[in-house]
Amino acid sequence: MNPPNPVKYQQGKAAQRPKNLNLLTIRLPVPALVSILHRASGFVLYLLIPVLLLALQTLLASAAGFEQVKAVFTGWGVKIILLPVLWAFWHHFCAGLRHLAMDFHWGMALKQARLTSKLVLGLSLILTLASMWLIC
Amino acid sequence: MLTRIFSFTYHHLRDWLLQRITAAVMALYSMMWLILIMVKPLNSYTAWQELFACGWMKAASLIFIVSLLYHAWLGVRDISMDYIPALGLRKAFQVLVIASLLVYTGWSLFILWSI
Repeated sequence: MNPPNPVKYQQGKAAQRPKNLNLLTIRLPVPALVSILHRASGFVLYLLIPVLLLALQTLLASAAGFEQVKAVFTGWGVKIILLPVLWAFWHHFCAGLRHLAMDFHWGMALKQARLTSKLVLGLSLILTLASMWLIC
Repeated sequence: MLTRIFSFTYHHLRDWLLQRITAAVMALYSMMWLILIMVKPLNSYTAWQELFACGWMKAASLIFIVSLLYHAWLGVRDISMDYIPALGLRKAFQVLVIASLLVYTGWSLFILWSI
């Protein structure tokens, strides 16, 4: 059996294949979705480092500062902002653990990779809500 | 293996390993906080001050912050390599990121040791 002639192949079947570059009709596989969200959430968390440090500094500086931070976090506006931030943390956390597991060659098969991706998406949502409840 | 990881001519494997080690350190520190929140009432200023006055808390927090900043550098550097093809722009972005992380390191030291 000879492999198909690449030139002939391209002129034949490949030329007739439909081209689809419409991003709205391309669906990401679940592991790819987890992967890009891992990257996006990581970047968001990097951007939030100064906010974390500012909160910690104000919190530890004086009793008045502590009350100030507490007051900020009890406001509803901040809580609504806090929700996606907590999600970014937990998604990055869970997807990171999945990465570490895969470094040990655990869950490498496609079926398992899809299952653990869904697990990461679900678990990070649950942990977001649980930690939100813990803070409130 | 170890000489390869720790020699400066073999960045990829070293970076890969450090990304994982810093991740594990951060995960452990996060778990420590989760336990702290559950066992210790942390709703007053004095409780926070007492907590961060402890030497072990300062040390653990410093190890966490250094891990966080190095982990952030590796991640943001990878992002810049993927999405900023123009060399000058990419290098300028990386310099800004490194500068920000150095400032955060100094800032963290100031916060932790001013209490």
